Amino acid sequence: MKSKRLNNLGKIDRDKTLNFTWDNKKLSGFEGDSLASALLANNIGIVGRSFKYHRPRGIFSSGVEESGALVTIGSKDRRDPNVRATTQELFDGLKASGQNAFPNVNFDLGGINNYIGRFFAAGFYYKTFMGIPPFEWGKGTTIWMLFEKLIRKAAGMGSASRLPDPDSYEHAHDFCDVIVVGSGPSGVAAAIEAAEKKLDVILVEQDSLVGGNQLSENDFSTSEIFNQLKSLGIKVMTRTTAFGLYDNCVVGLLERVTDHLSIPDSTLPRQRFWTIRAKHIIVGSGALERHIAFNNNDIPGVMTVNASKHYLNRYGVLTGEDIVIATNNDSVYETANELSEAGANVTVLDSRTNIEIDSNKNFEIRKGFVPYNINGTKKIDSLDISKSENINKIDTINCDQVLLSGGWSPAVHLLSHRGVKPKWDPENACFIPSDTKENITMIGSSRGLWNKDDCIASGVAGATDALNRLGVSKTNYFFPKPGGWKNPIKPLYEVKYKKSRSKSFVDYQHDVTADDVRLAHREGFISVEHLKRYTTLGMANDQGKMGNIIGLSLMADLLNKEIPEVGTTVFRPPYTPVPIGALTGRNVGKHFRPLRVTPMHQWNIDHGAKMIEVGLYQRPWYYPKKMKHSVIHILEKQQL
Amino acid sequence: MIRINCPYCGERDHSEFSYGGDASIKYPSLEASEKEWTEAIFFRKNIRGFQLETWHHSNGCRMWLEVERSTVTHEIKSVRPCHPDLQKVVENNK
Amino acid sequence: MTRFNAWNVIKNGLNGQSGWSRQWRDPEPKSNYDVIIVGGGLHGLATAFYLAKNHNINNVAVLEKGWIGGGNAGRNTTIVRSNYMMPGNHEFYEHSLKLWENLSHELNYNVMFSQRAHVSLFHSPGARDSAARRYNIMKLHGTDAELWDLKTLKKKIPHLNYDDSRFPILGAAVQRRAGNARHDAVAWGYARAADSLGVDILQNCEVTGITRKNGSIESIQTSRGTIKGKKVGFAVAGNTSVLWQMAELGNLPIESHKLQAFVTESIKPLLDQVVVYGVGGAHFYISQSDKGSMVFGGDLDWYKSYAQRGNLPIVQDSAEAAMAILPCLGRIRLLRHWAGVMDMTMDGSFFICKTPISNLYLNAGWNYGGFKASPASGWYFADLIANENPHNYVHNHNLERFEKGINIDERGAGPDPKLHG
Repeated sequence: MKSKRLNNLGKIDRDKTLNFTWDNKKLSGFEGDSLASALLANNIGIVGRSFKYHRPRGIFSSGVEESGALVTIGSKDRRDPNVRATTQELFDGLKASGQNAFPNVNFDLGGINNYIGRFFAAGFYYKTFMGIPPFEWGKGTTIWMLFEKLIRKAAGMGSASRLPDPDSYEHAHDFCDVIVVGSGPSGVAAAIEAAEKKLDVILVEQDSLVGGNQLSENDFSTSEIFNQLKSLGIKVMTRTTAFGLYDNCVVGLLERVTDHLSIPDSTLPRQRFWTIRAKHIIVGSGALERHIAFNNNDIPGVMTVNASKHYLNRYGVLTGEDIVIATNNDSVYETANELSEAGANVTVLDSRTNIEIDSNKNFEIRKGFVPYNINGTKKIDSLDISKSENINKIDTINCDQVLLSGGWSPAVHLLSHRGVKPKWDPENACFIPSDTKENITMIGSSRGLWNKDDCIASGVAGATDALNRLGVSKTNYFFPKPGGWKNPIKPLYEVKYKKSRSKSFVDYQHDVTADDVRLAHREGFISVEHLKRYTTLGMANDQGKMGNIIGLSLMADLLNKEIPEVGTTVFRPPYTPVPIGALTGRNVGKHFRPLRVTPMHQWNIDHGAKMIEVGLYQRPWYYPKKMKHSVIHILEKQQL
Repeated sequence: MIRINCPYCGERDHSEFSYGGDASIKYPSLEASEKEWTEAIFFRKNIRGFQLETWHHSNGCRMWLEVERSTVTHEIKSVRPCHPDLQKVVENNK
Repeated sequence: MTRFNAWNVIKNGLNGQSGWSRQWRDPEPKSNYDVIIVGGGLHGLATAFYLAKNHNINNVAVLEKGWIGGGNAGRNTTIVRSNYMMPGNHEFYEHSLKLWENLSHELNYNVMFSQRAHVSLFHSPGARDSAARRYNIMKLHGTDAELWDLKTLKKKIPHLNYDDSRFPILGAAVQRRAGNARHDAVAWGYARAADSLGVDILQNCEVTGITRKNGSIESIQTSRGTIKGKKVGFAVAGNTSVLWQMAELGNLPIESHKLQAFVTESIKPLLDQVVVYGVGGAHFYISQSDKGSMVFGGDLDWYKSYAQRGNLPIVQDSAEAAMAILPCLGRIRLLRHWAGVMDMTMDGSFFICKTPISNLYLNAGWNYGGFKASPASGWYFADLIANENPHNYVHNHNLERFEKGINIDERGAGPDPKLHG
């Protein structure tokens, strides 16, 4: 992959240079960069290693679904393992390093696992390590525990500090009529509509800027929208993730207060954990682009199409020179145009044949083609391609980047926290939210709407729904139908490799391959819950945001069923991981529990009492000076 | 968070309250058999669905409340004071 | 069925994993079984296995409404221990631990039981005394037990909060043979082993009705048809009351409460032991899984519930309790939290007993502690079903104990199901 910073484009401030280090190497980026965009600007391709096979991992996305670019930042007692480089804002003096690798992510001795990986299929550890190999002789747990020591050392991702966390955290509370999650076109429309009808509105956005996926658009102005929201009296909370929905419209938020600052104000908490009690919740949490499973689809240089657009228009970074885009839907063509205008040589493989695309012909479109295999180990050398019917390698394209779009999955996670199962929409090849009796409304692309006008309309409809349910108004409204592309999507989850022992990744971080799903099927682990537990699919840090649907579709295929018949996994809170420190707040150290004292407490202290804990009280145990010999002697004798 | 609408304090988090348990239990007379007493003290319907239960607003007005709540969805249908006299007061103030 | 061993793992590595087949069959329900076990969790599956293995009763069905191991089997913090002191309890849990120690070999399935030691902290001289009493009694019974003083504890786990804690850590009561196991593997291992002995595991087979005739159960209606069984055993944890009432048996000394569990992102080894403590109204247990996640939990949500999801107050409580002893966890991120439905009983103790229906047997009421008990639970429940006579270790664990005033609870917290931690 050859990624580079452009002189134009982006919402970064090229006048403000920020210095940071990556694996002790001094690099620089600009104000407004994410760690990921800064690494890409410096042409850093390998940023991590996978869990099991220690395969090189690059940056797959530009957001919370990231499962490759997990890095460690900070040092000593402020060391943070498993940070997503894609959502970490760059600041001056940031120290980042690769993890789960020795000596480093570029050259990792653990990489040997990749070559003996054929023995490490899903669930292999349930079948051995019990006794002395090869026939598992012996009894008891001794042999297992010897193996376990090695396994534990190899497992895990980043390594944590053992020193007490020096930062402080806060708990905060608020109330509102309507909380809107997400500041994309639909969320903003909903917030404005509700605020104009005099409701008390909170808008939360996990990013540092409002706009949602519009931030990946070239001509989008975030400040304009921000000011408009503010002028209506909406409480706008950026860098704040709505991580969970709980009973009675209670929302848990995590606000990252100082994680983006190089020298934070010491009076500020690092993060704030908010409990919001709302009367109505509107969720416009967007949709996440999926990848496609095919052989070697994890080589650094593979990325989702939308991520590349994001890097281009938000950060002014062109992520490749010779780019192949593989798609099964219409969402990629604007990006293809922009990438080629920015100077990349772009080829689009569209798995569909019977489609009409308006494009300015800056790039080649090969209809009816799919990616088949990537050649290369640490970087992409070329891509073998196949016709979408009758899968077989028929051509090779030299390239340094492969962008994937296997369709979009609405982020139905928050609704799932409420136990509401999403329903399958075969037309759009995705799960869309079901209705709920609770005061929760899903809007925008988290409802399966793909174009902006529909999203805005759904935002207004969502706000009207809230107003109706709160008894403020009684207005008719309707939601646009899911979809919105000119040509229908054609499901494409996996391009099956002809040779045995393929490495078609479904879950990037946990190294779950399409073959692992097939093995699980062969061994009878056919329900979603069994599949997940047996293969660990969707159990990594991204909780299956990208790979779950692909795993489901593979299983559906094997069972000759439709995806919804296989089932859906229940998403559990939090939507993105939340530090234990934030959940704890101020109740640390001596403040873990209140101290209760008797009226004699001070007297006891003054007289040198040795105090002991009795419930929440402290009481004197003994007075060492006067009674040292008798009492201590007796007590110590009694104890052991 | 379950939000309980205390008739005195208004809607509050359930963490302000202490859970009392099944409110449908009727204790028998003192002379009743051991079997009856065992049934009253130890045996429960353990309803899956809406049930009557008591909550004590221990970090609030300290009133004992009778709450009709679903044990599946946690939805609350009604809240009223346990004490019949207080019930009347609340009714009269409506 | 292909045996699980390194030889076959290597062989299948070379042949593209083609030699593995279903770990258990997916049979159609027969119309008649000798024994029907309702509930495909750990206790139900273990019962079926020991019925076949110990008592040669192979015509057995396990009915599971969803997928095996999908309830509390998959929603616990996987702690295995036997630090009990009351007569009966001690022998029962110690037998369970002994079964755990050889379970992987017995089932030919690596359940990853790791005897990493169960370290129970104490924070006051009084707590130390009572730990000493309990652990001395355990020693007299012949199980392993030891007390670690502060120096030993600091050497073993240097990063506990020794300097800045609200409640000083004075030492720990330790059971070295205790530890963790891989919960899913236990369910699958029992299923595979039971299946190979002829047991039918019927998934997606929900009980919808129970037909009684002349004081016994004649048949069970399920979503997969009517099934007759000579004997029927219930092992459905939090849903016991629902089945009980379906059989028109009235009330039970059980309430269903929910218990949350928490898992963090995976990190390199940070904690080798299982660490637990209870002080100042907090109750907490934590360990690190082989995958690297910190797995922890605390108290119930304090109100009755059948929902498999929790609320924020206990999330905060558990996070606080974690930071109180391991302040380095502040920056470690919570990845997932969820809840299981616990069958909490009025005295914190379980039931393995006969019922008012002559051919119905009850296995329920495991409170917080069902995971560690599952092998012995299956063993003695199978024994009861096969021999009609409750074994000495469990003969007090019946429904009549409340009326008779038999005390089998270790803690004596009184008849309030939510208080039995």
